[in-house]
Amino acid sequence: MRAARPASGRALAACAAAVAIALSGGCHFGVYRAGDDRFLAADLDWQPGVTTAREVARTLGPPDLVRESGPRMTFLYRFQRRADTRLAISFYLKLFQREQESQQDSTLLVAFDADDRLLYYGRSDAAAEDLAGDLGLR
Amino acid sequence: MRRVWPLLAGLATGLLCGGCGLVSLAHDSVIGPVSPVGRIHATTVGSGFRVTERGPVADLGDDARLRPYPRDLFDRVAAPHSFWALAQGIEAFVASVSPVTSRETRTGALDLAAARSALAPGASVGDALALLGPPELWLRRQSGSLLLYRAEQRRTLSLYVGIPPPAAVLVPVPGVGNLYLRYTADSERPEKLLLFFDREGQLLAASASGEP
Repeated sequence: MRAARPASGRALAACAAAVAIALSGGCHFGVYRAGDDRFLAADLDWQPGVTTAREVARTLGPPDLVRESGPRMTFLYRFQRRADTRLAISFYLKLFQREQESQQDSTLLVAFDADDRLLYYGRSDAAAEDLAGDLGLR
Repeated sequence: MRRVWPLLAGLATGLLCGGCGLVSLAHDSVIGPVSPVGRIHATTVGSGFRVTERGPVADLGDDARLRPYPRDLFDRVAAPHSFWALAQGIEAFVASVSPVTSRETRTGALDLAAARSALAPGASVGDALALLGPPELWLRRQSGSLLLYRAEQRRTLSLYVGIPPPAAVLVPVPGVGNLYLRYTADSERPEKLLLFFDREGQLLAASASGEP
């Protein structure tokens, strides 16, 4: 025969359940990623005038965009990360609603001369995988 | 005469409750911003009706406020793509009541493995075009030419714990609709193939997504 749970234990469990429901109630958390993020972690030891477009493509794969401006050609690599959090409390109507969205675009731009040799390149910072920031906790 | 009254009653109900009816306009003006069903007037009589993952949407723009039907009515209900919107609406509804949803969408067709094995260095531009079709980008350079092919794959994973929104309306417990937690992960990954040709149009190198 199973022993009956004490009343204080039942109350504690009920409180814990109520708090858990209150904390999680009406929440939405979404993450969106677009692109190949390999260029963010790659060790880029390219030399202007030496490295070619083919070597860049061999290291990072094909770019997302290729642009030509006069004799110059530009490779553009992109990675996008977006996170959105929503809290909505409704009682037949939406009584309270809070939305927060954060988006970070990371890019790498590589420019080549007429002979497809590297002129210069620039890389933006990596998009931080920051759960606390996405949730608006800091 | 007996048949006229039901007809008039139906017409009056339609006028009162339709997209530009008094009930809809009053609803949108008073509780539209906080209503769970959103703004009825804009959705029912606006143009550019489409179904997103969050439900049906339309643009009211500068349409007349008392317009009883959408400007693109036939386009909305009778064009072939309207059935696609209907299918999307059914899918969005089923997804909204499912605890776990996984969806995969592909845009464009690009078989990277087949292309890499069929196109060896020395292949001509004609071979590439015959195998893969027209590229997204064909760039002619002093040193040769580049062909860029691209397709896209989108994956969505959605987890839902709680009472689904349509069901919550039917459960007679106040505030029960708040008991949910939703997590959505979307990922869009492009599949790309870049071909380098020399001045004579012979393939020098190929670079594909996921390599090395």
